[in-house]
Order: sequence, then C-alpha cells, then structure tokens
Amino acid sequence: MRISTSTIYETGGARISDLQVGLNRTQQQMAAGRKILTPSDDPVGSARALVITQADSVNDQHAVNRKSAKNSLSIAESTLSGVTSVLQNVKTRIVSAGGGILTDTERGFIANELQGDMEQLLGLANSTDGTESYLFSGFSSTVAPYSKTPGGATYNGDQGQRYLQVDTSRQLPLSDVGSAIFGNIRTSNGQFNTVANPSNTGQTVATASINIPTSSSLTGNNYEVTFDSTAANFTITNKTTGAVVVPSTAYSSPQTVTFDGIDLKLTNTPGAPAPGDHFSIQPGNQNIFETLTDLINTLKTPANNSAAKLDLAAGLAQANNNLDKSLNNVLTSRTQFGTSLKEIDDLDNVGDSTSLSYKQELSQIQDLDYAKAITELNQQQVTLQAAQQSFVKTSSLSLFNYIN
Amino acid sequence: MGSSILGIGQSALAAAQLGIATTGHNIANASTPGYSRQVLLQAASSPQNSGGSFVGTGVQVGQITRIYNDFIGQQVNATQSTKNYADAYYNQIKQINNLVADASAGVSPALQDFFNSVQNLATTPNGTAGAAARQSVLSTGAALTSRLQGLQGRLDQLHEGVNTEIQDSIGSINSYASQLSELNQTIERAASVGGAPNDLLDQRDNLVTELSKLVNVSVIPQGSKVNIFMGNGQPLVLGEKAYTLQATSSLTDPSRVEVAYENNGTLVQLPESSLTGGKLGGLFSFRANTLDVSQNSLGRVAIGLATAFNEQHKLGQDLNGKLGGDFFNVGTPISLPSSANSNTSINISASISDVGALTTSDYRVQYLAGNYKITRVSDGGGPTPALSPTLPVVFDGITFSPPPAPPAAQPVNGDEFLVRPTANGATNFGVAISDTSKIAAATPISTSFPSTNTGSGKLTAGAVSSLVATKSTSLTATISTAAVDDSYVGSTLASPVTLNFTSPANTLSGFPAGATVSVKVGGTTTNYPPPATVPYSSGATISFSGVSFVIKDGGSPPSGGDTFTLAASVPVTPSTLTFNALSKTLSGFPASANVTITNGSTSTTYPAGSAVPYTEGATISYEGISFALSGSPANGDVFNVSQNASGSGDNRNALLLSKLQTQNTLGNNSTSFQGAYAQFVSLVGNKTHEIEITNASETKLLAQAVQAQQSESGVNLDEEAANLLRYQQAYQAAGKLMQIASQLFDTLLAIGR
Repeated sequence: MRISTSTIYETGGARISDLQVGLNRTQQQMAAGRKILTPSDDPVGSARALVITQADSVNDQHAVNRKSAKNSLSIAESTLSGVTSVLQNVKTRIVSAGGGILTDTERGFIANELQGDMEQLLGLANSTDGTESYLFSGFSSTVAPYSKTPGGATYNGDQGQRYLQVDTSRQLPLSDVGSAIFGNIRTSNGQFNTVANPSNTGQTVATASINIPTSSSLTGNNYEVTFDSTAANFTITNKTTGAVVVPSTAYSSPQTVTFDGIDLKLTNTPGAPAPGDHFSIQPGNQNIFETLTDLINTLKTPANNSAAKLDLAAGLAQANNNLDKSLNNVLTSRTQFGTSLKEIDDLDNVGDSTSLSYKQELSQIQDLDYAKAITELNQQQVTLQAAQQSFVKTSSLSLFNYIN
Repeated sequence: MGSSILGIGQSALAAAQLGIATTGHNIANASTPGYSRQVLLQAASSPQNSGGSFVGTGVQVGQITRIYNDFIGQQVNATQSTKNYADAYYNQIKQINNLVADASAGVSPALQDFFNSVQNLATTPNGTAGAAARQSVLSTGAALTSRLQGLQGRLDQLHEGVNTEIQDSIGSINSYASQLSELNQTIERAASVGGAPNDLLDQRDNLVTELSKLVNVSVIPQGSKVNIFMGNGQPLVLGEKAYTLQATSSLTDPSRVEVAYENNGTLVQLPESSLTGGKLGGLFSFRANTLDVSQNSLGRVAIGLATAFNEQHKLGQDLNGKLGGDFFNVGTPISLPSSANSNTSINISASISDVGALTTSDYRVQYLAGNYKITRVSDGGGPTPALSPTLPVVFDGITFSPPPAPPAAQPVNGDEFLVRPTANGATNFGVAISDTSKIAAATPISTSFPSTNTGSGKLTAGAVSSLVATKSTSLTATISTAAVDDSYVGSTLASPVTLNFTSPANTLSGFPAGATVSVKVGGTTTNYPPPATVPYSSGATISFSGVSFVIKDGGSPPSGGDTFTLAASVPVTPSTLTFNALSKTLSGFPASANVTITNGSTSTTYPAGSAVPYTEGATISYEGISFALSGSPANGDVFNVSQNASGSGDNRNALLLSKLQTQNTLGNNSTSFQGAYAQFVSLVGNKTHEIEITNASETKLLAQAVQAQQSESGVNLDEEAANLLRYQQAYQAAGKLMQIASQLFDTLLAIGR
C-alpha cells in the first residue's frame, strides 16, 4: 500500500491531539473531583443527580423546620409545665381554704394569693416564642390570647393551629390553641350550668338554654335568680357585673324568661319555690380565669351564716372540680407536645440517615474514583510520550536525507 | 544512423527533463490541499523499418496525468458532508451542554432556594422574623428569575449565532458556486486545446469538497464541465451559470433565518428538511431538534412553576387581608401568522388551559377548506377529530381560539399560523409583586365553634377549593363546583355571571358578552359563539373563559326562571351552621348554595334550601369553599364559617405553596418542576453524547476516506526522491548516449581525415 507524506503527518498529528484531549479530560476530572463534567458524560446520571439534589435539599429544609418546631414546642411545653405547677398550687390553696377553722379574713388572704396566681397564669397564657409571636393565640399570633375582664379573662385568639412540614408526609402543630388549654372547662352537660342553691327549700327547678335569635348578646357572665321574701316574684342579677338584668317579675309556673341571649325556664316540680330561694346560672363551659375569679369571689364573700357556709363549700367544691378539668386539659396538651417532640427526635434520626444515603448515592453517581483516574492519567501520559517520540523518529526518515 | 541515435538521445533527454519537472511539481505541491500527484506517461516512439527489422526511434512523451479516483473523491465529499454536519451540531450543542453542566449551578439550586424560603415563610409568617422570611421569598424568587432568564439569554444568543452562521454559510456557498462556474469555463477552454488541465481539475474538485463541507451536493459531469445540485435537486451550478441562494427570514417567525432560492426572479424558501448534511444541515437540525426544544423545555418549567404557584397563591390571603394575586409573571403562548397568508393581520390566539398537559413542541395551525387543522410539530400528532370547523379547540393543554369574529376579516383557505406555547416562558418569567405584605401565606377562610357547644363536633381549618363560587336558585337542579383551568383570570367574574334557564325553550342564557361557550355532551364538544344561548342538557360540561361546570337534573329538570350564578368565591359568605340532632341534618348554609358532601369517593350535591345530612368526617363544600366536620355534635350546636379577618400568623397557604416543590404538576402529572428541568438536562446530555459519538465515528470515516484518497493521489516524498534519482540518471544516460553518438561521428570523420 502507498502512503502519502501528508497522511503521515496528518494521522500522526491527529492521534497526538486525541491523546492530548484524553489527558486533558482526565486532568479536569481530577481537578474537579467529579467524573461527570458535563451532562453528556452521563446523561442519565446527571438527571438523576439533579433529582437527588432536590430530594436532599428538601430533606435539609425539613430538618430546619423540625428545629423550629422543636423550639416552639419546647417553649410551649415548658410554659405549660409552669401552668401545671401554678394550678397545683391553686389546688393546695383550695384545700386549705376548705378548712372550717379559717376566718373570713384568713380566706381573704388566700383570695389575695389566688389573685397573684391568676396574674401569673395570665402571664403564662400570654407567653411568646423567641420571635415575639404569641404561643397560644392560634393564627392571630400578634394578638395576646387572653385579656382581663371583670369576670376573668376572655380569649382573643382564633381556633387555627399552625402546622409545620416536618417530613415529606408529616405535619406537626407548633403549639395548641389557648381556648383548648385554658378554656374548655365543662361545668355541665348542657349549655349552662344552672344550680339550685344548697340552702333552697322550695321545689322549683331552673333550666337554661341559648335563645338562638339573640345568641349574639351572650356575655359568658354568671347570673343569679333570686326569689323575694314572698316567693311570688324573682329578680335576675348579673353576678359578674352586679347589674340587675331582670327586675322583680311575678312568677307563675312554668315560666320562661329571656335575657342576654339566655332562655331561663322555671318550673314547679310540683312544689312552689320557697322565699329566698336562689339559683345560679353559669356558662356550661368556662375558662380557668373565670373559674379562678369565681373562686376568689367565693372566698371574699363572708361565710357568717349556715347558708353562706353552704355556698362557700359548694363554691370550693366546684372550683376544685373545675381545676381538675383544667389540669386535665393542660396535661392533654403537654402530652401532645411531648409526643410531637419525641416524634421530631425520631424524624431527625430518619432524616439524618436519609441525608447520608442521598449523599452516598450522589457521590456514587458523580464523584471520581481517584485511584482509577491516576492510573488512567499515567497510562495516557506514557502513551502520549510514546506517540510523540515515535512520530518525531518516523517523520524524520526521508530519502532526501541521503541525496547530496 | 548517427542522426537517429542523436534523435533518440534527444527524445530521452526531453523525457527525463519533463520527468524531473513533473517530480519537482509533485514535490512542490506535496502539501497543497486537493492536489493529486501527477505522473508522466511516456512510450516508445514508432520504430523505423529498416530492411526487415524495426529500429527504435526513442521515447515519446504521451501526457502528464493526475492520479485521481472519482469514486473515492465522491466518497470523501459525502463523508465531508456528514462529518461537518456532526461538527456543526456538536459545536452548537456543546455550548448548551456546558451551560447546564454543573448540578450546583443552573436553575436547580435557585429553585431549591426559592422553595426553602417558602418553607421558612411557613415557619414564621409574620412578625420581625416574618418580615425577613417574606423578603427572602421575594429575593430568592428574583434570583430564580435571573437564573432562568440568564439561561434563556444564552439560548437566544445561540439562536442569533445560528442565524449568523447560516448567513455566512450561504455567502460561502454562493462564492464557491460562482468560482465553480468560472472554473468550468476555464477548464472547457483549456480542454479544447487538448490534454487535461490537471491543476485546474484539482482546484475544481477541491472546491466541490469545500462545498460539500457546507451542504450535501451531488455532482453530475457533463463533458469537461460539472453540474452541481443540492437538496431536492435545486441546481447550484449548471455549466457556466451559478445560482445564488439568499438568506431570508422564516415565513412564520421573522427571527429565524432560512435559505431561499431565486428561481426566475421569485424567491422560493427551501424547506429545512431538503438541506441535509454539511454545516448548513447541522445548523438547521440543531436549531429544530435541540435549540427550540431546549427553549421550550425551559419555558415549560418556567410556565409550569409560575402557573401552579400563582394558582395556589390566588387561593390565599395576604397580610392586608386581601386575596393573593399573581406571584409570578407568566409567559403566554405566541401565535405567528405566516407572511404568506392572504392577510397577515389576521391572527388566531392561544392560551394555556392545563400546564400539566404542555409538551415542549410548537404547533402548526392550518385553515384548510373551512376547517382548522392543528399539528404538533415535533411528531405530527393532532387532536381528534383532526379537522374542526370552529375554534376553540383544546389540545395538549392549549386552547386554540379563533381570530376576532366578523365583521373582522376571517382566515382564508391555505392560511397558516405557528403557535409557540412555551417559547416565551423563561423570558417573561418574573416576580410580579414587590411588597412583602402581598405574599399570601394565609387562607381566606376561618372556621370556629363557640364554647357554648355541648357536643364534640369539630371543624377542620377549611380551604378555598375553587376561585369560583357556584350557586343556584333551582329547587331541583344542581350546579357542580366549578373547575377553573390555567387560563382563568379573576376579572372574568369581577361581577357575578347569572345564567337564566328558559322553559320550554330549554336553554341557558346570560353568559358574559364576548365569551364563546363550549358544551361537552358525551365526548362531543360544540362551540357556541357569542352572544351564546346554549341548549340545556343534564350532565353536560359547560365551559367558558377557563371556567367549567356541570348542571344536572335533581328529581326533575330545572323550572323556567331558575338561575345559576357564578361568582368569585372570596370574600366568603359568613354562615352559621346549626346541627339538628333529630333529623341529623345541618342547616344555615347561605341561600341558594348547592352543598356538596364528599365522603370518601362518593359525593352528593343538594339543591338550594334542602336539608343537608350530617356524615361524620365528610367534606362539606359550597360556593368554592370546603371544610370537614367531625365528632358528635349535640342538638343546636353551631359552627361558624367566615372570611379570615386577622390571622396574620396563618401559614396554611404557605404550607400548600411549599408542597408544590415536590408535587408532580408537569408532563400529565408525571414530574415535578425539578424533574422537568432534569429531563431537559438529560435531553441535552443525551443528544450531545449521541452527536459526540457520531462526530467521532464520522471523523474516523473521513480520515479513512481521505487516507484512501491520499494513498492513491497523495504525494509521497520518498517516492518522488526515487523518481528524481531515476530521471536524473535517465538524463545522465541520455547525455552519455549523445556523447557516444558524437564520438561515433568523430570516428567517422577521423576515418576520412
């Protein structure tokens, strides 16, 4: 076969250039530490790498979310642990107030202490997290959840609960709604807790329910129905504000009277009311501040006769009962926080190992095997040297060298 | 005798001299491209009969010919075409390949940062930390914009580059064609004198090779001239005449340079498919198969992200208590009428109705004999039925809408339009809001129950499920929840649309002015141009302006005068639902609300005013909002549903927005935004890889073809050195012969002396 001189130079040059390209590529791979330099090196691998990078980034973000959730939940949990000890203090005080040997003045002292407890509780209910948003006011996190009223405190937040995405398919609440923790003390199965005074001697019973058309005028206050000395007329007083809402009215059984959104029904069973009988009407659902205010009012009321003593005993019993319910609510929320915190710890472990496996997979796809690369580099180097040397040798061979 | 010896010597001297000259010419042109080695053909000259024996008379120089193999020459040209095709493609695609090379650069990290910032917003939607989180959402959104637009900008540059290269190639082709026609002339003149003008032939063959590098051509020799054709047989050179090509802009897209061919004074645009091979073919192929697809892929990611995000954002509520607006600007489809259309001011329009169904292709819409024909450019697919006498037609998530109705001019037979749904996606992508308080992290609905409830019934937080609230006064027929597609704009229902049912005509009227209404019964869609009065058919899907809904008979069909109303679902109509334990029903829904109860996969819609049974845990939806009620409510328990009044710490919508990152919203709900981007990277990677391999193998093939040609036609210097020695010795020998002849003559003279 013939070979032309230009072919010798062209093929020699092209081959050396190819070798240089290969050498340069290996060098670049080593400098970058990656075997995929451009998507064309491994199209499937680079697409896969992109998808894994996103999964990894989402996983990292969930870890950040978990940290935030943990932070919020820890603050909420420690706040509620404070609430628990205050409530337990209050319980102790109720027991001591129930001791029959205390004087009115001494009960007044306890009432003052309870006032302090209530302030402390209000402070705890209005706690904020590290970013100045209230823990227990639902979505209205810029609004203090409880504000003081004569009858206790009212809830200003809403019933929304903020959740965070802590894992791909798991959302956890950051806190609980104030009305569920500090409210929700059910004093009766009905809409109102209507209690005949223990000292009543008549047989009339009272039941209360919401008057739907006027339900917007509900106050949440406590009321008292009192029969006069003839037992023929009754008066209804708002005990919280002291205002008379239904002035003296003639009674005939059965009778329904509507005031402040409440339908009060008085019925003889079959006996009539006795003079001086009275009934108290409380909302069927209270918050702890209302309970405490009622308790303080009860303690401040002098117990100078047997009827008043009965009232005191009944008030203390109810307060004790309500406190147990409130403690239950607080403990339910704390349990929920605790469970969430535990779950976050578990998810953290899962997240860490997921992250590790993502990184491993990513590394397998795109990272360079240095041992292999160095071997390859050496081999390419040797080949290139050989090609260069042999090219110089062969190309210098020419018949013209011998013509002179 | 003596004179004949001298004559022989002289012929030998001359032949050797010519031999040395030819060898010298070969040596001189050893590295001239396209040069074929030349050899001296010599033969013994006719002998003289001298009394019964023939005496030789020396050597005769025949001619100097070049060693050239036509067959191998054609092979080299063909390989040059394919190799330069691959080369041109590779040089272009390599740039996109490098552009998307790094997983830690490009769009991907910007996308992740953006969604991470949305999650951080969910953690702290308000307050001091919230302000930072909100700003971060806007900033990462801007960063994402700049990444997408940067990438798009580079693609635009490539597009420009391709245009320039096509123009340059056309210039070179024209120049080669005219040189070839001139050479044809020169060669013919030279050949007529006799002999072959070797070097001119080499030059011509070399020009054909250069031409083959630009475009695939075929060469038909005719006498001493060659005719050159390209593509589908368009002559480029016919003997002494050269035809010129021109760069023109595409009929349907002025920014695309195409090749046109001048024929009898008129310009005819050559279809890209007819220009195969060579650099020109490579450029066209790159533009159609990679650049357009890249641009559309990127646009699809941008449009998909912007649309999905906007839709969720619009269901939310911002810090000012207003409904969320558009968070991103979304690119809209472009429709380009062909410049060959009868009236280029007529244009159809296109809008995206379902981003999930978008492809990365462009669409050709032709008006043929009274029918619109829509063709997907990438694979020739189309809707069923293929021909439709009216628009709108929905295909691949795009609504193709007709040009403005008469009296505006209408398209005529043969008119053509190019619709590019996603080409503008990345360019027009951007963050639409700059006020951090306008980020809608909250949900506009609020649910609650008062503490006076005695049962354990609980409402879920609730959500706005549709931007459109539907209601009806009919006591029998019901209207379904409205589905809103991606082309719906809020202003459509700025004031409520009330449809009136007329009996016994059995029709619905009252659609917005200018809205074309489509009614789908069974699998058949009928379009009603405005002002639309639509026949009522129970269970038919009625759609207009991106809103679609179903009106169904209850126990009996609607009665005359019944109305069906579509309105914006927010602000939410405040309502108080009351539970009745005796009948186990809920009452208190807004008047004329059609309540739908969804329990598992079964859902029932109740006409206005009818009692709605309570099913524990079932989803209750009406007027575009939905929530679930669970637990055991007691008689008279009430549940309030209202507009979210404050709730600045509400992060419900932010959570839903952040979930979009991993949701499969694109490619018929098969892939996420990142997945679609990865698909684009993989497409570029795969194609580059393919072209890389083609290029490498074509390079090898070309090297082999050139080597084969060179092995026949190329100059080997050693061989020439040998020839040089041979002719030198021949010359010396001839000289010696003449010397001997002269000595013989001297001997004769000496005899006479």
